[in-house]
Amino acid sequence: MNIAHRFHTRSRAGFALAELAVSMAIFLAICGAMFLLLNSSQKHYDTQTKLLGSFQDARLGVDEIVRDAENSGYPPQNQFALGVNALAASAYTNSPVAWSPNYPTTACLIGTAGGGTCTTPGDFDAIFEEATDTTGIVKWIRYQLVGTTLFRGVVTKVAGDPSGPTTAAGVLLPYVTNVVNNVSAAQRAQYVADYPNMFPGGVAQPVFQYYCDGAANTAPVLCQNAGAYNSPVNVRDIEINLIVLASQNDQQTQKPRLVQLQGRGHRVNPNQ
Amino acid sequence: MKSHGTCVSHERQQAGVATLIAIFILLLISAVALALVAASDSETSLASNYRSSTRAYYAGIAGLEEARGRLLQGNPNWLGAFVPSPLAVNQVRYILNPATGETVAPTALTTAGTYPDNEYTTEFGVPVTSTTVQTTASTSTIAGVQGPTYKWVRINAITEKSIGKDVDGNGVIDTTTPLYYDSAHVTASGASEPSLVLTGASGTAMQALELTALAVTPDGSEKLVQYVVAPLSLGLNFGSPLTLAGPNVALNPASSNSYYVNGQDGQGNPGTVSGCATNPSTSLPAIGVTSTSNISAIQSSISRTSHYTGGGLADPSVGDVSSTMNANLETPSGLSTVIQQIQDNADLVYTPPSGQAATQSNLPSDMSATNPKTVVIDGDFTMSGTFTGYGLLVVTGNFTYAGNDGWKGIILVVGKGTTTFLGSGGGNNEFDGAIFAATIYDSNGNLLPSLGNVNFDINGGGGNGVYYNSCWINQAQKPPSYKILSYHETPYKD
Repeated sequence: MNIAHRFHTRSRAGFALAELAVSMAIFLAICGAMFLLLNSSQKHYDTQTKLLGSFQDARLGVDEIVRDAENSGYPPQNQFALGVNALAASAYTNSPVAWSPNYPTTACLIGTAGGGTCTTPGDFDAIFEEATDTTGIVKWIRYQLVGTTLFRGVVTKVAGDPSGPTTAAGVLLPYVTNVVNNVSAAQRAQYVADYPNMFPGGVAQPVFQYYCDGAANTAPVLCQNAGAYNSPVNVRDIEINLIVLASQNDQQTQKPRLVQLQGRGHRVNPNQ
Repeated sequence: MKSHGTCVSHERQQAGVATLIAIFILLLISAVALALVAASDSETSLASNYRSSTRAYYAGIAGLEEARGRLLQGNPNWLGAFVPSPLAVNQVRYILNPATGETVAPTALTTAGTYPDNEYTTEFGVPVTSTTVQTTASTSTIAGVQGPTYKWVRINAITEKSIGKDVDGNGVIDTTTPLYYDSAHVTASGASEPSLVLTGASGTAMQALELTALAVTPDGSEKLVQYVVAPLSLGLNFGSPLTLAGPNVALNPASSNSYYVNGQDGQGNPGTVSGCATNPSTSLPAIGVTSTSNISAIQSSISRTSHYTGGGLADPSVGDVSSTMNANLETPSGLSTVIQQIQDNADLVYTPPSGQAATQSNLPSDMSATNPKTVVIDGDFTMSGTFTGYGLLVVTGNFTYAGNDGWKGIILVVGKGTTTFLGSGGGNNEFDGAIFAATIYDSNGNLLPSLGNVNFDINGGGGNGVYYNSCWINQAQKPPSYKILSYHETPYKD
């Protein structure tokens, strides 16, 4: 009686072939629908992940540039009673932003879109002067956009023009990739169509814009509009604008995905 | 019984399908949900990190600015004697800003979670616990609303050791001498380069202080930011006790036998300024002008010639002092800038009713020798009876006194049309410090392109003379601001 009862119970507790067939059929139908949905979501997710990666790289880049701009000009010359002529070049800063040519004797004029007399600073090139650690040794920190790669290099400040030392082999290293602020006109046209607000006027967009101190009690103005105050030594604020292309096109539309990040670094250290 | 058995079997068959489908679908939904949560998390965390870091930076700057602002005497929450001048190297002050229910103890160097200040050890080579520490509360929390999330701001003197720089270039890093900022420093090579110096206080050298703020956001971002600041001097130096600036000066000098104008530092009965000694070897022309053409006319108008002495000049002592004055005092635009700067930081700016002059009753009642005031009277001013004022007085109209009146400090009378300094004499008080009179506006109040004419008229007897006094001049010039000499961010090690 007990054995017969147990056998009867086990056979009823399992699943019949029909049960499995029905449930599998329903499951497969739901799975099919789900995978269609997931496939679309996966493409979207992939695109967003790549975009997020680009966003993160650019964000870190902008953060570092802003921090370098804020610390630029440290230590200022006012910390040395001996007079700067008696000091090593790496002991003090001549200017928050180094320039070329004629550094440090004659300051150049900052321009945009090829204007001005500075080869650096420019729309895609900036060299900050500052002591970055507790040693107090002043470094040149250069950011330079070459093609679609923003390079960063750090080198100890020496006497003379900063162009050579900051571009010596091994100094500049890739920092943010796929920066499309200054791509070819044909390539830019493709981006302008999809992101017109990122490229006002359809032209290349400066990575760096410089604001110079003017007369007392006036707000800094774009250096190229600052008249007699247009000089790297008067740079007070730097606006940073990075337009970065995600490493993968949108999987659904196959269009390029761009992300734009902006920041503004304000120098607190005094003019030299 | 049979039918019951069939019913049970049918129900169980249905229950089996439902259970299987439910399990499969739950698995699917869980997988999708986990993927979505993971994606969402990375995005949230990225945005949050950036926001937190920026928040910490601005909180740190807010701490520095609170301290910088509260160093100024004009600030309603002025730190006053909490930060004595000078501040010794072994004296450290903290402004604490704990969140509700939080303990902030920068000197508890081994207590985790109380924001210890190990940066001091890095800078000075000794722990902050080896110094004399005082603390005060932040004023950033208003009406119970928490302000910026900085934890503390340290205020201390600096040395070559603490800033890690051989300021005087002698090859030795000094660990004990406090640094000052000399706005008129000239290097050994003769170059004019305002800078930190080790030479102590002077007329142009003021103590430099370091402000260090630690900001920590609720989600753990930390920033340690530093200013080196020094009080900005108004830079009002005078070439004589009585300066009458302008192309044409009309002088009607006092006829009293007890009236003197003396350019030697500290003459008369000036009283004492705590912590300051005058220098009798400093001697300036009794009356200073900015146009040599006025000298002979002024000299010829003085009858008691021996009462106008100083500067090594023959009596009556009248000289051109334009080369020794602050350049801003020589032009209407420069004077206008100076007055604006004074006005921005004045204890009182008072505009008398139209057609009336302000009187001493309009001045701050707590003005005293130890509490000099900066006052701007936008109009005429009249002192009468028996009154002594202390500090820096700017009058943008005419100045009149009568009786036992005097002033210890600086009087700038910078008016309209023809500025008139009128004294009725009759008293026995005196003016110690410096008086400067010029006209910078036309009669309609428009700024002139160059200085206008001045009328200085003292009639009647009395001894309300004018005596040059460098101590009262310095005492009157409260710094209008603390200049930021340098800024940098440094890593925080707790």
